[in-house]
Amino acid sequence: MVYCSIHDLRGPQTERRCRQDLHRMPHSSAWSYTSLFAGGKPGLVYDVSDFSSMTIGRDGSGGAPSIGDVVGKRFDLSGNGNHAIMPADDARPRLLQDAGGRPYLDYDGVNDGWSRNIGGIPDSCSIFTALDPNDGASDYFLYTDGATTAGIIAHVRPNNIVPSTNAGTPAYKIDGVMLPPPVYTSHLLSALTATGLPHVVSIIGADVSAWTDFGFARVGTRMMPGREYGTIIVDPADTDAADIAHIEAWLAGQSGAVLPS
Amino acid sequence: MSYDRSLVVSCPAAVRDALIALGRGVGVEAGMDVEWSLDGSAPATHYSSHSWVQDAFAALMLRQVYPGDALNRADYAWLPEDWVDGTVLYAMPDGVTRAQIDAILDQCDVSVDAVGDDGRLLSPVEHVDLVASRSGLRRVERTI
Repeated sequence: MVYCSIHDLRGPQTERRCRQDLHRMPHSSAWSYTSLFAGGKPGLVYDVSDFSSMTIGRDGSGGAPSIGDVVGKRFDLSGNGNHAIMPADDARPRLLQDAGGRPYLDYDGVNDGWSRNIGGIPDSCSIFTALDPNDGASDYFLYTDGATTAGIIAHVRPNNIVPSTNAGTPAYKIDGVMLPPPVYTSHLLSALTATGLPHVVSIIGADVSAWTDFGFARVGTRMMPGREYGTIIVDPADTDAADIAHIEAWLAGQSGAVLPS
Repeated sequence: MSYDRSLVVSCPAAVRDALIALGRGVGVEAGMDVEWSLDGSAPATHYSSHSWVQDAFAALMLRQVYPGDALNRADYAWLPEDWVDGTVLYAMPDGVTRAQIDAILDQCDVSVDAVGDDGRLLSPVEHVDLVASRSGLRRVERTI
């Protein structure tokens, strides 16, 4: 079964309409993520393949990174100015590229991460990212507001995504496939994922109203080693099924993740 | 110079502020926020971090060079292509002496590019675990 957004959980009539919407989508090559933010719609875009949207220094200094350099600051390409800064110089991930030549940010699994003040992000937001957990003994990963407490939207592991508390009840998709609710339990995804392969993770309709910051951050003992190819955050109210399909297709292209045909 | 040296630094909790201040003096903002203790329970007795650094910073942490040193290519093969001999790579922070740097770093455990028994460069997590274990320390477990 294919759901198109959190609203599609209402029933089969909506599901059929979403499928039709997907068939009417323009070809992905004609789409640009900037269209998601026309007219000042909120959100952000971090595009790892755009080296000019990053700097080595956390203060914007050091110039754009080359492959092998660390990244200290990421500029938001949505036009909303939601730039992200790594929390310290020793928390900067490296810009590397995979065997297919696709660039990614490599988080060391110890203390790397990025953070962004929640200002400018809708209280209800949808988060899309392409990542490769890349380690069988991994731990917390996605989007928390601090190093020790509260606000984890999901723990993503190679074969597992574990939604957590303080983020409302978002819908979750892996590689374009909706996870059937309820989602507040450990959800094995061995049929969908495999260790060492990139995935598109979609978290639709998360409630971050109580948060102060978010990002990829270390929580508890360690952060999962992993690769990030890009991240997009939008307001669900501004995003329809076709937008979501475009975002997921773009992230799949960035990372090599495989979406259902 | 690429950031391809795996650097792990740990220090006793009492030294952490001084180490961070020293880093700030040479233009590096260190988090040093990975907590260690003897049995893995809070509070932390030591702090550590892992980072990917350039040769120059690794040399600084290993005290192969000091802030204020005027370097020459003949002595340091890792200097950049456009290096002008005699240039100071890192300025000595105001009011800081070599003795003070030594006093701080003497209390720290600094490890660069640890290699496993199989000759493979350890991953960051493995590298951190190695440095912790040789001091008999464990990461502080925290739950959410």
